[in-house]
Amino acid sequence: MKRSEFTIRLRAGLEGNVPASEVARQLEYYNEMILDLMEEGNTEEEAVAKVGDPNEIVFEAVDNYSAGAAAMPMPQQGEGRRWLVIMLLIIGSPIWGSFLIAALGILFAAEVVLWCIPFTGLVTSGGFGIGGLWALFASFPAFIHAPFMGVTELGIGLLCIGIGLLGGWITYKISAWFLRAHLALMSWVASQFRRGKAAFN
Amino acid sequence: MRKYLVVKVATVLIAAGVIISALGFAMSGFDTDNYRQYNSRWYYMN
Repeated sequence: MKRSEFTIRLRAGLEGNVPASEVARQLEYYNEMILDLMEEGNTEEEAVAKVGDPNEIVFEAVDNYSAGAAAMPMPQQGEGRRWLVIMLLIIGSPIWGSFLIAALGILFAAEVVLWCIPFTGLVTSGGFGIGGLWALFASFPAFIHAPFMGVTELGIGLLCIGIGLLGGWITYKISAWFLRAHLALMSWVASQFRRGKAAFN
Repeated sequence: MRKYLVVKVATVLIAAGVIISALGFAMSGFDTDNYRQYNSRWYYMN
C-alpha cells in the first residue's frame, strides 16, 4: 500500500468520528512515522505495512479519543460565561458594592420614614395608656391626702386612658395603609431584581 | 356595633375624665395653688 492510499483511508476513517484537529494530528503523526521508516531504508510499501492497518489505527484512535473525552468533563454551555460574570462581579465589587450599600441605605431610610408615623402613634398612645393607669391607681392615695386632688387625678387618669385607647385604635387603622405601602415598596424592589435577572438571561 | 366599640369606650372615658377632672378642680375652689404640695421649687437649696 502506498503512503497516499494509507493517508486517504486513514482520513476517511477518522473524519466524522473525531474532531478535525485530531484528524490532522493523526495524519501528521503517521506520515512522519512512515517517512522515518523510509529514511531507515524501508521501501514505501514496507514502511506503510509496518505502521499497521489503517482501519485498526482508526478504531484505536476513535476509542482513545472517546475514552479521553469521557474522562475529561466537558464544560457545559454557558459555564464559561458564568465564571466570567462571577469574576467581573468580584473585580467590580468596589463599584457596585458602594451602590448596593447606598441603595440599601435609601431603602432603610424609606422604611424608617414609612413606619415613623405608626411608631409615633403607638408610643404616644402607649404613653397615655400607661400614664392613665398610673394616675388611676395613684388617685386613691391622693384622695386620702386631699379629696379634690384624688378626684382630679382620677379624671385625668380616665382622660389619659381614653386618649390612649383612641390613639391606639387610630394607629391600628392607619397601620394597614402603611403595611400596604411597605408591601408595595418591597414588591417594587423585588420586581427590579426580577427585571435585572430577565435582562441578564 | 362592635366595630367601633373601642372608639365608644375611649370617647366615654375621655368625657368622664373631663367631667371628673372638672369636678375635682371645682372641689379645689378653682385654685391651682391648692395642688401645690411644696411651696419651694425643688431646685431651691433651702
